[in-house]
Amino acid sequence: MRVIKRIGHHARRFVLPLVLAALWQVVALWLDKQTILPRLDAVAAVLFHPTAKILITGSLLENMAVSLLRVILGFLLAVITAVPLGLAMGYFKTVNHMMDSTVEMLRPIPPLAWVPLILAWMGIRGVPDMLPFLAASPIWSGIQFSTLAIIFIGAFFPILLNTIQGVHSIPREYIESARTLGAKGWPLLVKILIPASLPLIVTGLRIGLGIGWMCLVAAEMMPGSSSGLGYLIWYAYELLRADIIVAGMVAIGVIGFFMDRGFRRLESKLFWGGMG
Amino acid sequence: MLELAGVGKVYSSINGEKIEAVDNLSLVIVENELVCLVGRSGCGKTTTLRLIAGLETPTRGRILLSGKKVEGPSAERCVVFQRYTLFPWRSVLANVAFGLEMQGVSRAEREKTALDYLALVGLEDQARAYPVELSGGMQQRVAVARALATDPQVLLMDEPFGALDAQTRAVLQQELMRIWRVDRKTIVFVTHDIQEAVLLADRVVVMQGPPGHIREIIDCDLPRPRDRNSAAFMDMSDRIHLLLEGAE
Ligand SMILES: Nc1ncnc2c1ncn2[C@@H]1O[C@H](COP(=O)(O)OP(=O)(O)OP(=O)(O)O)[C@@H](O)[C@H]1O
Ligand SMILES: [Mg+2]
Repeated sequence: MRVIKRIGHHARRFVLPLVLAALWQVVALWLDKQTILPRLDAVAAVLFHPTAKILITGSLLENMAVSLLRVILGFLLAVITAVPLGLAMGYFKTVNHMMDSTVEMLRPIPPLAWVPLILAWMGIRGVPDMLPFLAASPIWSGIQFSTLAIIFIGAFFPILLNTIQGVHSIPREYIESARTLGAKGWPLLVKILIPASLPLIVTGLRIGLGIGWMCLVAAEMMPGSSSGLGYLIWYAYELLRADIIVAGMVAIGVIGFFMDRGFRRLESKLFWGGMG
Repeated sequence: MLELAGVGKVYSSINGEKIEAVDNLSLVIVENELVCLVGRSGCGKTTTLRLIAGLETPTRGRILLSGKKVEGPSAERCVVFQRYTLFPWRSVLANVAFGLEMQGVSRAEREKTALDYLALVGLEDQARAYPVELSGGMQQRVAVARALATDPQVLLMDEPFGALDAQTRAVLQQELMRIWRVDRKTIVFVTHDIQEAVLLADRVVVMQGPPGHIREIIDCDLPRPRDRNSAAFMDMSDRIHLLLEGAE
């Protein structure tokens, strides 16, 4: 009985997606216009041959790898800048005072609005221009600085704001106890400030990575880009291959889902029951 | 010797108002003495304690410990708060060892010392546990062990048992007395529980305010261990009670 209940419980989650998929397939068969509504079996054919070359771009897997690498690099750039800045802004009132209005002015600008300016600044220069030995790698050769910059901007602000919030959420007793136990400077930062604000920092990382991932398609539409899931989607659009478009969208969704899941796991481990 | 001479503290509130929390407070606390600060809510007890801890700077007067001016917090003057005392991301042992870790004591040595102090508060079996796994009373005991482990000159306690139920509080008061006999420290203990003050203190400082100042200092020379039900104990409590009522 329990087992059946549990299966039933899990099955419920799949009812809606299955109904939607079935509806899609019925409409697609009835409409019979592959360029507008591709049949699901055509989409599945793309998804289930991830190593097959798609049109003149690389395989689905290669495009996923490039996209992932771009997002991870842009995200890491955001982490190593936003976390220290957030800690400083959260802890020092003067730093917060100095930076606050600037941050609040830049924050509402959508990452995509930066595209023209970033192109003007960075053009199509990429990592291989700096590290020529990577030019031969099919994945590294496609990493342009402009792409990274867009993802960086998308990821930066959620990480920054959550880190500031994380420091503000520390009960002052933690910091004060530590100081009366002789902690100051670097050890206070590493042993108290960072661990105490870590739960919210990780929330910021999760949201930042999510937004960085969402900026991907836009970032990969930029001139000079010739790989990645975003590029794949636009390229397929030009050739009216809706099956590839949908397959690319599915791939973006699935990767995004698992990245979020991973961070949520980490988050739930970090909330030391009942703290803050 | 801990010396407060004409100490005053004015806070600037968020909307720019000046709040006089402590005014012209002078007090000398000798070594190994246990002094309790009592007074109504808002009379400046916490502020006084924070000034001694170096967590606030006095706007007037000065505070000297062994003749040296108190400037900023240090491990010589350790504080035990009422809430959020332990670091939840550290094990009990790592909490107690924290102060020694800050002094650069080697891992093996500081864990050994930490275990000794955990044994002193009767919690050596909980060394590997995390704070959330402990009851409130156990957490405060660990906090006391953590404060003692760095061997401070003065132990500052701000209503450390204030959040505990009456029974646990009574147990911890006895525990503190036992520990104090073994590891005698200068203790400044803030409470608004008169009975607690009479049970623990060598001297009870009755405060009045704001702005906080001393109404009277009472020598609490009842023989130890003290019996809450003895006539002398009740007399003493009543006296303080009257003083506090008069302070209104
Ligand atoms: N950070 C602060 N900024 C402004 N005013 C403050 C601050 N801290 C305390 N005060 C004010 O100073 C006065 C004394 O406060 P304090 O916390 O020392 O009282 P207390 O005796 O510890 O009270 P309680 O028994 O409620 O803990 C109060 O009027 C309070 O409003
Ligand atoms: Mg108080």
